[in-house]
Amino acid sequence: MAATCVWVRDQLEALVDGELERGCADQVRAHLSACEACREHHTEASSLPARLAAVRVPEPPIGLVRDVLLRVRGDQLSPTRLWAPFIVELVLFMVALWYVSGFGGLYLLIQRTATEAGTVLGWDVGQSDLPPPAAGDLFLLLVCGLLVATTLYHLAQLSRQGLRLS
Amino acid sequence: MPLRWGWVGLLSALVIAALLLAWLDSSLLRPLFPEAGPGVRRFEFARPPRTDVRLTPVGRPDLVFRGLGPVGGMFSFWWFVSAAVGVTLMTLAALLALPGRARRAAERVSVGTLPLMFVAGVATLLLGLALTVLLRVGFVLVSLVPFLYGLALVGAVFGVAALALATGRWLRARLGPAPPLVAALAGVLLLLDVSLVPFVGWLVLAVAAVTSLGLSVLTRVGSSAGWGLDELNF
Repeated sequence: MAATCVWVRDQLEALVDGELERGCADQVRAHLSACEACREHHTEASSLPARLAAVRVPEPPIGLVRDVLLRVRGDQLSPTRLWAPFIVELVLFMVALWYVSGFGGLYLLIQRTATEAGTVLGWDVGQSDLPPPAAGDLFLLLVCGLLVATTLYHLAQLSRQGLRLS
Repeated sequence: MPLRWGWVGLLSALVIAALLLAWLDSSLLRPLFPEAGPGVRRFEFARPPRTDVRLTPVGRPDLVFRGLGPVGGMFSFWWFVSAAVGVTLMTLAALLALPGRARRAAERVSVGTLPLMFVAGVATLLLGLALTVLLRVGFVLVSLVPFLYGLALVGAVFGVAALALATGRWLRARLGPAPPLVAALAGVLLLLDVSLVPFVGWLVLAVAAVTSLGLSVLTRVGSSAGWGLDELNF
């Protein structure tokens, strides 16, 4: 199927509903006059509203709106649940940053980690000695553990919200 | 399908703008860049003992273009151009390798979801930093840190590809039909042009990279099931 046909078929619904701009509508009509396959799609799209109008609408059950709204409100995350973890994350990050003496300390920490990772990988291939284990700092580990827990919880909430909005 | 003149004009304008901005950054504004030239700091990785195998130097450091700096020099015209070409190729490769996932991720991009994606990206970065500290104590686990960063890089590249696809789709609605890769290319070029704008461009690029990472995380790299575990029920 040609890319023009894909584009035209995307516009068919808007054309039928009369929502397409004039220039765009003329392009679509010009393509329809030349392409039989797209014309069939257009016929289907044109007849669908009429068919749907002919179908009798069943009476909705009593309390449908109330039940749907309750369900939607139950799924919706409050702004507090959505944004509060972000503030906690930033506070924990600032505490960690203060503890390692600012961005210079953070850079040094990452640099040391890169060095250790390089040494361990070098040891794996027999090119260097195994480095001694790094000394753990209980306070920093605690802050980072809390940061991991908070970010994982936050990402779980965000992914739920992100999917709902899509 | 013949490419419309609007698309040809847009792509040409974006490429020319990128080249002009790269020239501006590498010539007139070069002194403003941090540690421009050969004094750029590097990570001091632990190096294994030297072996007898000597690699010949790559490139021509003696080759200097008048007003544009050395060919491989940091923040030279060629550095900007090669970085831009690298980002473009990686983005298009991601679209070619994972078209379905890229489409699903691009469908989630909207004005309403972009702030969520940015926040998710920041949270992911903080998670990566915290894991770096925790894995470092794990002795052997420290060797996982480079893979963690590699994973983040792949996620960011995929996110940029999805953002470019979404931008391309937005452009297609205005400029008419075009092959999706061409539209996505226009999206990448738009991002590169903005990122080359002096003073504020790097900030836009950083925000776009973090948002891209967030997009990848929230959509689980464009997975149809998202983060649900329904697929495990079989």
